[in-house]
Amino acid sequence: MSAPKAFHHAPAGMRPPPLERRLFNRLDAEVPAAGSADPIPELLAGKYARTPLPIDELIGVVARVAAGWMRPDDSFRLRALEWMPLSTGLSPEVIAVGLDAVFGLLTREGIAQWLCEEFGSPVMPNGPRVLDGPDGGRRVRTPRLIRHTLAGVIPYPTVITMVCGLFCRAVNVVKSSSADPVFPALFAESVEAADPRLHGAFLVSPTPVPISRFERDNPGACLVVAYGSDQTIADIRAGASGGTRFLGHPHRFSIGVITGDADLSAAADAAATDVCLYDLLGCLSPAAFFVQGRAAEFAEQLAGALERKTAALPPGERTQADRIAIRRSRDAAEFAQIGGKGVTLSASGDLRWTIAVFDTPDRAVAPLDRIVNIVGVDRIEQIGEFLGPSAGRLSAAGLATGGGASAQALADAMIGLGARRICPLGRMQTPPLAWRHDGRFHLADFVEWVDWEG
Amino acid sequence: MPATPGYNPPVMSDETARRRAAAALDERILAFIGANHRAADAVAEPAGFQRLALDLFEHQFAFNPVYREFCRRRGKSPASVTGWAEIPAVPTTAFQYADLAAFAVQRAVRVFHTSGTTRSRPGRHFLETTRLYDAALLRHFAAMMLADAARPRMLSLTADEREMPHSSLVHMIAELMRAYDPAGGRFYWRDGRERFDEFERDLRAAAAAGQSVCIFGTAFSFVHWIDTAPVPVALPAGSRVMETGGFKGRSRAVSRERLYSDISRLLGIPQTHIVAEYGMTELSSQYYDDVLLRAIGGSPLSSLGRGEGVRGMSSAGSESVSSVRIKLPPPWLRPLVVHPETLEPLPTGEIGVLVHFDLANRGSCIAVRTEDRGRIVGDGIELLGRDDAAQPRGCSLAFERTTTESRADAAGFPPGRMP
Repeated sequence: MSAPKAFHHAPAGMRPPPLERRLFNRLDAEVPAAGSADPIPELLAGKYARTPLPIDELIGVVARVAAGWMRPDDSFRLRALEWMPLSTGLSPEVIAVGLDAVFGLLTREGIAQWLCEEFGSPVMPNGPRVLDGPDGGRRVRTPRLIRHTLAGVIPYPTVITMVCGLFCRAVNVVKSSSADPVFPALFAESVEAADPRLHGAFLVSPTPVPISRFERDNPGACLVVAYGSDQTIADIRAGASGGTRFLGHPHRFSIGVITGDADLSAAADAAATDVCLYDLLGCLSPAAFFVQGRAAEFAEQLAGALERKTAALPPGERTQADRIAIRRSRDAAEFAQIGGKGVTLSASGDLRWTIAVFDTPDRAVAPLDRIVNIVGVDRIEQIGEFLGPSAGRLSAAGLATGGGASAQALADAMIGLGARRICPLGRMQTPPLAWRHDGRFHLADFVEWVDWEG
Repeated sequence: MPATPGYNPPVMSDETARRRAAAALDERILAFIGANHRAADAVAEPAGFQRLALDLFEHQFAFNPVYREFCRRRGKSPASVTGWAEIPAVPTTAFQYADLAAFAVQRAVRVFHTSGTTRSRPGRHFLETTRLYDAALLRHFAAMMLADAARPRMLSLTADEREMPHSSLVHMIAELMRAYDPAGGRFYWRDGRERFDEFERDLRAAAAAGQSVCIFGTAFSFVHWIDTAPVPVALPAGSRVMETGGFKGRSRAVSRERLYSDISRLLGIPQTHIVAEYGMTELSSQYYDDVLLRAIGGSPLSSLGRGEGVRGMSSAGSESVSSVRIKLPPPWLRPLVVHPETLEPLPTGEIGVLVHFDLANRGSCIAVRTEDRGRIVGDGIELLGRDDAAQPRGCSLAFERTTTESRADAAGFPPGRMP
């Protein structure tokens, strides 16, 4: 299986950075021919940018590409499953679920529904189009150039942001995540393979592409979308050309909550899914499970569920550094337990999974590589006390309740706490297409609205 | 105490008996440290180390309750452990969360703290006496750094003991100055800042007087000095440098090759005379690069007891720092390399996590598992660094940082790594 290219339409002279994590030295780093050191003018002058496809056709292409990725024998999927484990550290089984989780949503109907949610119209406007009737309404202005800086290892946000850029019919400069230089390049390649007219829609690079003159001269026609740590986002914002619109998606965390009246067995099974998908590395991964009343019992059930789930969703190959980090967390929990600090540690014989149960809601270990925090609480209000000001960073809350009023009350509590998404436990990692990432519209945030009052 | 089959521990409450046992062990360990362990003695030494190690383990199992529980969880006791390599090794992380002492910590004469720069809470190493620590320090330093009988002036870019009373490194340097520098040595970090002007003045004075010097410093302190663009000075022959530690985010990080090249250029010291010390707060003994020993043709204290002695010497003074530096332990300190996941010992030469068995750690734990990667090479180890590289690869927030950092001290939990 041919190696994916670290670069997709990279400018001449650009080379991969030194080996990061596991993969770069094995990537095909041959740089496709490019006309100049600043590739952006050339892309903007290309046929893709000059003669944008109608939105209907773009939707069709994306749906076709997604259907392709869903096929077990699809060459792009096979290449991703071969190479992404090397870059991301996730297992092929987990990656496969992650690919299906996003591509399965991108059907024609799914996209139409998504656009309807974003724009109140089943189709996105083709450029300066009136939305609200013949005598007045709104138009949208789409950016001509979008810079995407990706983070993490999960396909969903990569696909969504790149598709949004495509629907804007912009030239998309994509800086892939250092943890995964593979998938963005493969996805871009698959889009172009599906329709050659989209050649030039994406420039994917594992290293930043310098700011072009076009961006300096036309900041209003550009958009920067950045995922990453606060520092990364601040750096990207500072480096963007003045006047350029900016959408930042900072790192966040999520939690699971299990109320006292929940079915613990079902909850544990669902929680194991949320743990095993992406090995707790995603912003939708549960950094801790808050369990009302029966934390020890839940931990026992979860241990069994993790053992069972591991067969279908095994952890990826871990580096020596990963193993040392897991050991460190286990050691910390064990010595806290020995020291009588209200901690109970249970773990697989190897390093596949670790569960640390805390008697009091004021502590936790680093959640990573299937190191699960379980915090016992008597009252739901204790979750807020535990999170403190960091509740502002809360992304999703996965809930397991006995249903009825208890579920409603818990959901209300989570909304009050700052959660931006509330879903059943077990579905934390598989948000719908219309998920308002960070509490905002997605595609609708890419465009600027123009009010036309007739 | 939970019963361990086949083992009847001493009665814990008998403090007099504990002290007597500790004192007797101390004398035996001191005798071992003081013995003239050279390569020629190596054949006899493994047994000596083995016996002492097992006796020390039994003592710590009896009087260190946290360690005993740690061992019990692994089904290990003095009754089941038959060789030093089987003694359960506590992780360095443990020193953050528990008082790992084989005596009541109120009796501690010194408490060394880890820097805590990469952790939210420092680890603490309690010493009931400094006799073992100091004896181990002085003997191996003399063998590795002063084998040519040099008596250089000792200058340190670190703070002194008054400013950093809980730093094992500072204690170590101060003790070396007291023992080996008739002038008493000098520190160049006071009142919260470096005193490079005084340092350079003393360097020039030493150069003018033909007085060799031994300079101590952390990697980041040398970088700070280099960053001031000092005027190079040609120190007298026999001058040397002992560098230790990493950068810990306190300076720009530079490669070791670059750092040593700069030090060599600015001080006129050959790179063979720049020695990296490898030690840690949780241990009482240290390793040193073998480069100086090889350059001056010295002989180490036998280390691993395999009688292999020092590897063939390259042309003295001309060895490049880029060649592999082997860190040699003293006879009372033994390394073991284990698999990071299974913690099982790895064959010689394979890379894994370093575990150290230090007889001078009488008051805490003889066996300490680090997070450092390395492998056994000849009589020593090749240190491959701490693999904090567990690269951030997810998009999840460093949850523990936002939620627990401020509570970490009270709760006793680490920030861990960023996922």
